[in-house]
Amino acid sequence: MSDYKAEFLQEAREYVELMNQSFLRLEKGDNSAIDEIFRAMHTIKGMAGFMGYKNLENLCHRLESFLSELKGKEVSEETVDLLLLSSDRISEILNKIEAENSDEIDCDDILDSITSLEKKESKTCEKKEGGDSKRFAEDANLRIEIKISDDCAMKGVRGLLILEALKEVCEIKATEPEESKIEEGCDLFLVFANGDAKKVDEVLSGIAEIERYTISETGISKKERKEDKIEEKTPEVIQPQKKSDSVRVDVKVLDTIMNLIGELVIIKGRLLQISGKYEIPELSEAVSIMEKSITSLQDEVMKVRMVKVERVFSKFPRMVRDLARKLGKKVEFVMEGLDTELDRTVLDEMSDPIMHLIRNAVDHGIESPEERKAKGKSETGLIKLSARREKNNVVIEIEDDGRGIDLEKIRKKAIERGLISESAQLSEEELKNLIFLPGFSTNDRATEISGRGVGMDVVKTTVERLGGSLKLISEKDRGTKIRINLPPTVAIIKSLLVSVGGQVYAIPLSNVVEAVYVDSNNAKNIHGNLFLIVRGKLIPSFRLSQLFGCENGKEREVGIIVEKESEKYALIADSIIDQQEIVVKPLTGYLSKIKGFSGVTILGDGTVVPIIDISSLLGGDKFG
Amino acid sequence: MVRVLVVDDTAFMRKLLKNILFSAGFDIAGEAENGKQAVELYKQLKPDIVTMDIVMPEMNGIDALKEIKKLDPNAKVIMCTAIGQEQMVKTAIKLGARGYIVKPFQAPKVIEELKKVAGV
Repeated sequence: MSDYKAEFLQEAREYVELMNQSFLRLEKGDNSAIDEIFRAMHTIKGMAGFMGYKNLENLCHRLESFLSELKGKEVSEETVDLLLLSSDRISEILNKIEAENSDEIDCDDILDSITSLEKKESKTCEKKEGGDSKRFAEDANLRIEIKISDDCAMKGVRGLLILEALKEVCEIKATEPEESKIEEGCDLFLVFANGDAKKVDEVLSGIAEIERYTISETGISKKERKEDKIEEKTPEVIQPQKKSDSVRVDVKVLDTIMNLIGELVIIKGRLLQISGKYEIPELSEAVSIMEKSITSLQDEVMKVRMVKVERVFSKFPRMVRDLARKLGKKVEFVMEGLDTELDRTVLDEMSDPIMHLIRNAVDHGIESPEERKAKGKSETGLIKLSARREKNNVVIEIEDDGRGIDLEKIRKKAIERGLISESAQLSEEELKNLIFLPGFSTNDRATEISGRGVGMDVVKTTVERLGGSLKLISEKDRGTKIRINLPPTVAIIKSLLVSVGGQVYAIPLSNVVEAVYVDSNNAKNIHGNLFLIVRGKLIPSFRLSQLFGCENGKEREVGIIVEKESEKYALIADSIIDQQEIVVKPLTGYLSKIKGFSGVTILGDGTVVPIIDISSLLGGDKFG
Repeated sequence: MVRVLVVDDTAFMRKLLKNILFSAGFDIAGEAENGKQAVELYKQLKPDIVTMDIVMPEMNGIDALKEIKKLDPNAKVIMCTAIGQEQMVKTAIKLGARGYIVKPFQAPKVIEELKKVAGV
């Protein structure tokens, strides 16, 4: 049985995650979510039974029957709270199973609340349904609920488009609000129509900017209407089901494959050299064919490593909800571009930083409902998380319409913390960048949620370590937007190869701004510190040969201008050799503690080349 | 591959749209700079989708839509519009336009609209 434990845990956790997403949809009034939760609960129950975890099975069973009662009814906030609590409890049980192989966690409180809610729920529902169904058109068999995306530019036009498209496949009996109102533009509307649910589903799935829709067959006939008590039959909800033909692969296996491909690339280089040395044309032909295969193999593995951002993003709605409630704020959380793909390692690394930024947005960005009202904004704040592909990069944006960043406050704080002097004249951009300094926080009290401002610098370092960049756009009382630019993968990077004292080093191209020749005209020694003058600006410079303790062999050196935390520095090397894509091999074991290098790569001829890590090379105390 | 006929009187807008569509894996069947040309090209090229600007010389987008619909009642025409042209788009939709995209174009929006209408 223990063979299956790891798989059981992994799958059960995925289902818990799925439920968490569905709960939130349920709370927004999307009743079809119940079916999904029901299915997930049912699966966990089945698995728990198979594994012999009686307590978990029992809890799921109770919840399952509770859920089946809820189908087709309005769900109260209380119920959602209970369901969320239950899914948390299930997670706890799963953790205990993993650690101690026991599922003994007391769940009586949940079981009791279910019983009491069941009684309550059955009463309230009867009342509500009566009023709602009066609006049903006499002989409509379909109830279609449509929610237009919030970012839709012309909601009225979209509404009309939907109505026109529906008219082609069914007969519209009534709408709520009325058609003219829909054409003026509204987010959410109901259509009662007579027709085939499948055709309606087809039409609606072919229209853009519909956030969600549900089609339910009402099944109310005139006969039943005459009776005083109207019972709505369980709506048959048509929902596209996701199916996938996939195999689970441990990401470590992919890493190994990637490494082996790296080895292949190196061996290919060796072969090329041999064929050149001994002038064997057949060999060089064979090698060039091999090269093509290796390149496509490399591309394929890179593709496999790509995962949808949804994997990480899906946990955020729940987090935002919980946070907003705790802080007494009203927040609408929107996510876009969930299909965008990113290298798994990059995505996993970004998970915490993004979470931190969203927390910041809820905690510091969005104001309390009263404050928002006083400012003339709507009480509900908006936070948008989006991902998209732009050229060769993936852009992730976190945007809120909250109070924005108060530059004056930052300035005061920075002076207080001794980060800048009182007389310092800083541009807006420079002021904004202060929040990325370690230990900076503008909020007067550190809250449980956003911590003590240790986050922003970590966010920035993580992004930069991954070879990305970060931009902060903020306007007072209008909101804040943080744009993160990430390379889609980290395993292979573009780099500049430079020579220092006869040894080759690689500098990631994402750090490099430009390169200039160094001569007596532009290199200046000021108080023992070396500076390069580039277009009238002094740039602090470091001779790599000095840093690495070797001799510099050339008279005409090259200054590589790099950027670190928006500051420019120059690294002086003997010469630039080439610009090429390299496979990064991380430093392991006792080598991993070495500062200044992020890894090594191996060139075609077998040369081992250290990859310079700008932030740790220049960030140490030595150069601070 | 979905073949798209891009109709707009400004070369810049056509180029912009073509770039967006091309990067999303659409095939550009052709481009027209007014409604009249669009109708001609529709006959010749039989594209899967037409993106149609509204205000154009010679023949405007609405009239071109009517003509194309006469040729092929199932033609999938997406109107290109700007804020303030709501009324014209509504007319177009009543005439059978299958979708609309709003200037300034946002690539993800454009792609979503075309993919939905194309059914891919």
